Amino acid sequence: MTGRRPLRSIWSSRFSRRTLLQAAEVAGVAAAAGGLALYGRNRAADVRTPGICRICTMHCGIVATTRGDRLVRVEGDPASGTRGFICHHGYALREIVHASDRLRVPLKRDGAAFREVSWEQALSEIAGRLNEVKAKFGPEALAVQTGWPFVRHPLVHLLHRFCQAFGTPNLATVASLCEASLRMGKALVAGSNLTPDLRRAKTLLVWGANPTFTAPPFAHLCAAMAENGRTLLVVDPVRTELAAKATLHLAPRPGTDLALALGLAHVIISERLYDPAYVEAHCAGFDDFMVHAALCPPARVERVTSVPRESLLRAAHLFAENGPAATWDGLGVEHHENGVETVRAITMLSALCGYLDVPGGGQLVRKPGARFWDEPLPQLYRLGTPEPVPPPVAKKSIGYSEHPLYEVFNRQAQGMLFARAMLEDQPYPLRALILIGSNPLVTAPGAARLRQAVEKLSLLVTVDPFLSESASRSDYVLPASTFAEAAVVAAGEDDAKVARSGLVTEQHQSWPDWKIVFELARALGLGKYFPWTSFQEALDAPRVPFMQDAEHTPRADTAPPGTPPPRFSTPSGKLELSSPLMERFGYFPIPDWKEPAERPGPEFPLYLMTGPRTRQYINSQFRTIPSIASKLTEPCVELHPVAAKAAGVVDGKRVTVVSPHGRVTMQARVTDGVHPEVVVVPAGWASASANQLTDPDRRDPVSGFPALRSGICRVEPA
Amino acid sequence: MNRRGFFWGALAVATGAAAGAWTRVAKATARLRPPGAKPGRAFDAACIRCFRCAEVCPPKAIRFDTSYSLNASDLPYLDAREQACVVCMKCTQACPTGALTPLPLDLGVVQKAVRMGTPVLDRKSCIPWRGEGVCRLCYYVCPYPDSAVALVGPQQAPVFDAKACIGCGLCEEACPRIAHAIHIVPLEEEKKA
Amino acid sequence: MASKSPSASAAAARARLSTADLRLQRWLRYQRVRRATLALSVLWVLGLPLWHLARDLFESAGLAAGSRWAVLAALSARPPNPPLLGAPWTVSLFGLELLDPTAFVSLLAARAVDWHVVLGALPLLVLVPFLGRFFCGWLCPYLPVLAASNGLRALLARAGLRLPDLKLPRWTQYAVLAGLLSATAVAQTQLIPLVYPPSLIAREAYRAVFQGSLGGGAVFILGAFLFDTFGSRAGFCRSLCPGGATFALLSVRSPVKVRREPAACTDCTLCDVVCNLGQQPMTDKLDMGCERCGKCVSVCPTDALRIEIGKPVTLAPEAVTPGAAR
Repeated sequence: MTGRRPLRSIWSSRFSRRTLLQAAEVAGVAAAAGGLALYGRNRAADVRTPGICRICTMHCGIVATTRGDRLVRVEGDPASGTRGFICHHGYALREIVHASDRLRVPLKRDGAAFREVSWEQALSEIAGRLNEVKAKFGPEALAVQTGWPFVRHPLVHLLHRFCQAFGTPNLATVASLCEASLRMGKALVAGSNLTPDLRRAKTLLVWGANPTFTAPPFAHLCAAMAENGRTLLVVDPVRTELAAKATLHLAPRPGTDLALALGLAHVIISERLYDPAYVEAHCAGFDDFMVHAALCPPARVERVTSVPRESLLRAAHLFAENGPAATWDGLGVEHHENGVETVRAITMLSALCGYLDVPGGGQLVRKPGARFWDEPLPQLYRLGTPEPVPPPVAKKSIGYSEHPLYEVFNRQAQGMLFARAMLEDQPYPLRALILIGSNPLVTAPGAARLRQAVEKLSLLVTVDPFLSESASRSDYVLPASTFAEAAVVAAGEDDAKVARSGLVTEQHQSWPDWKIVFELARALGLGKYFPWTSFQEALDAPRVPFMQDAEHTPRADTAPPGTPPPRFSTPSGKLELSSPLMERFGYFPIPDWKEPAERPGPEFPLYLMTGPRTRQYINSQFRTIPSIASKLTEPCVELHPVAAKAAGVVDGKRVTVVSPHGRVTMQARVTDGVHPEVVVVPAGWASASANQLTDPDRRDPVSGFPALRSGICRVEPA
Repeated sequence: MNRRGFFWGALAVATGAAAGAWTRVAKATARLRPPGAKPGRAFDAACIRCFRCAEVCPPKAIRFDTSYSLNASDLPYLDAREQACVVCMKCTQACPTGALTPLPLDLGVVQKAVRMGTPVLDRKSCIPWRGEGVCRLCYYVCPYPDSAVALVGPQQAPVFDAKACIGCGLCEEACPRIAHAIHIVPLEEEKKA
Repeated sequence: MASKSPSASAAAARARLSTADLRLQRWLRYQRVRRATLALSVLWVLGLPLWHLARDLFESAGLAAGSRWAVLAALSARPPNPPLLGAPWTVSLFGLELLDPTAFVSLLAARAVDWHVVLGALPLLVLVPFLGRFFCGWLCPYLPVLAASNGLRALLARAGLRLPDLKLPRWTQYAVLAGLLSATAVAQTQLIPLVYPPSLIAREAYRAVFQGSLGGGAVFILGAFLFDTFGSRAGFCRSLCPGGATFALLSVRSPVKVRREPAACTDCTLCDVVCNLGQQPMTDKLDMGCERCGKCVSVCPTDALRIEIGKPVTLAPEAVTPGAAR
């Protein structure tokens, strides 16, 4: 179209529109090609950061690989205490952090749906409604409940501070139904929590625990017991992986563990298998205990527990003659109406044989000297709280009147009684609830009643990274960052000191939990108690004693100087086979077997055991994370062939489990690995919640723990 | 078509055949193919490099060879160390030519039908086999625990069963970088060896 | 054709507009549809990987890590499963499977045809003999590269640079196809995807986004661009592309053709000049290489050319006026 012209004339002539089009085409393609090529070159480099996985309480050391602001890989850290172990949860951390169903912005309920709101609006509206509740019902009408992520988390101390500043005593943690009664039982005997000395023990007694699933970094130490020619005793109505490897497996009926423990004690005493010198030197109340243990002779124990007499005798001999023996007890012994008593009785077996505070036996968690009630939440007392200390709260927490010892040990409300306080205003009305990383509508007993109770609340706020079932019923849902996005705090003695930076920045508009608490306090006008701008600052602030009254002051502070502290920090300084403290709070001082009020009968012929640990899931968490959810897609109820035949149930078919409180339908798995009278229902499934079957009113009188593992039920084909 | 055209056409066919023969005998690196892939050369013949398998792959595990060799370039493969197959079988349903046999998301069916490679464990590098710690991550991430990988001994060291393993590579991906003990050997390579 | 006095209005229009402006306006009007489909095709090829990336960022923690397209992802809500999958030569559109005949032929050569392939190829095997090489003119993602090449040629020519325009014989294309198919048959591996631009460009875009690298395909496309620019105008499409050859061979008997109304033709040669593929509508020298892009039709100053089905319809001279369609 154009002839040859001198170059100058090109520039001097006007460009036509066509020329522009041509130039644009060239430029466009060049830009596209350049863009693609450049994209390939310019990528963020991988950065490896050590950290701690806080998904469960094992707190495994991890090394996280991040690329830009994305977590691309998580590995175990061989230099950490867990020596390189992580499980599929830690490994899935990248999926959890970058999950598509993470909450992105604060949500406010608007009729049946949620509306997105700003943080400022959400916090100021929550503060306004909390102040309304305070004005109308008093400050104690607010309760704060935390969940699994805050087990052994220093934020709990600041939540105590928050509650005290607001004026409510009602902080409940997962301690309301998990592990705390184990610590109470052990502390009542030995003045301290105990931990098994796995590496040096000659015998390991695993009672109602499944370390294979709950403590995988250490499970191999248990499994290796039998293989290394040592003795492994397992007491569990279910034949767990560990039980299959055990020297001896005792399978009692659920809830009869106390009778079994007393029976063992009786054999140990009557056959003179105990250590008289140790008992003489370190035990108090032996004579009274001996009399009570004698009420459980082997014949009676066999009738009550279904454990054969020979097994009982053999277990007693194995335990007492192959010392030192360590004991690992788990949730299986505490979710009964006699949970604390059972833990005490089991601990007393070790006391009789002289296995406590010796190498290879039960190790005291705390150094001697402090009072035992420091133990269950040691940091609470040890750390104190920064100045200014909020004014003390006069009102007693919910649950104090029923379970005072629980309050003394934990300085917390018993969360199991919240539903009653909401519905029946007992002991006083509860009208506002803040759930932090907690999903009680699935994980707490009596789901139906709790659902009803939640409807009566003036305000329900949930802080969670995901829209849990509880969050979906809340008035406000605040998006929390996961631990990978915030400063991680290590477990153990140096809780206050080790705070690391997050592995990646906060996703979307989520905030770390501490920031949510601090900002809510500021919105409530309690800013003077939370002046810090980071969690580290709050931990570093100098502390003064906190929540201590004269009765709870550690003995070390009151004892005359120069007095050596006793070996065991019980009131008597000895291992208490008969507890004066129990007596003081109105309980019988010695563990005493009583038949439970609710037992299988014609209508409900089977025991109901809910919520055994599974390898695949931790409670109700991470049900939408692909690599975790793909491991187990459906809940299965487990029952023995005998029970299945009687109920007309076939393996793999759907069955309905009926308890006096409700019914759920799920797939049946018929296996001889469970006790013939037991039905095992997994928990944490929102679709088929085991807590529709459980009874929130059957509680351990000492700790208030629900009897999740000794209910009654029947099974019928669906 | 005139005579010249015919001549050149014949020449082109002959040249093509020669080039094809050369391509056929040329050496190619064996790679992990997506699940359900036809065996060996049948896959190369049926795969038209359309990348639909990669598009539907949730973790974007399927990648494309960037080499310049005619018999490998642009074929889909997996780098299990970087990102393993998550056994969702979406790719098999997306394939337009049947180079990947369509499979349902049923772990039982998949275990029978899929063999991407065989696991090879270097016990000298494996943390538990060295006695340096507990790891078990391969066992935790395996879609067929207790069948494809079992844990033995006090250190809970892994033992693989090549017959039960589908070669998804989840274990290789999960194996800590410091150990680098598991390698999924592609089937073709294994045949040659 | 229903206006009252077409010739009068046409004359008025002619009077109002200069010839050059008129030509440009009509160009844009008639080519707008083609440009739109082309834009959609390019958007699809370059946008689909980004769309997948956005989905990926939302739905999993995969290789998309460290992406700088996060802004794009943040703008879109959580996307549903995409109705569109694949490169332009094998599409899944709302569940409808479409397979390029070239892929079909290549699979045939590799003896890897199963019912999937036949089912997928069927729609286009029916459509192409009717519509001819329409894909090349209306959808091929190489066309922007070709346009850039032509643009560069024009700009360089403006600057006074004389670029060679090698006219390879028509049958080169068929020889290339035959050679590739025979190589495929012998090697038992698909080779056409490695030299066929619609497949290449889409794959390179995908790979750039997800793997952060470009492969041999990018080099090949660059080579084709350089050949088109400095060797032969549209030389790749005209005489090398195996896909074009397949389409052409399939459309030997296509009834959709460019027809000329000799009475209206002024022998101005604009149509011959504008054609990328060396067709000569002015002298009715059209063969199966025509891609039905309609540029000759758009460019014709007297509307002497039409794309028609079957026999040509004789048009009255006065009807063939600009603006008559209004």
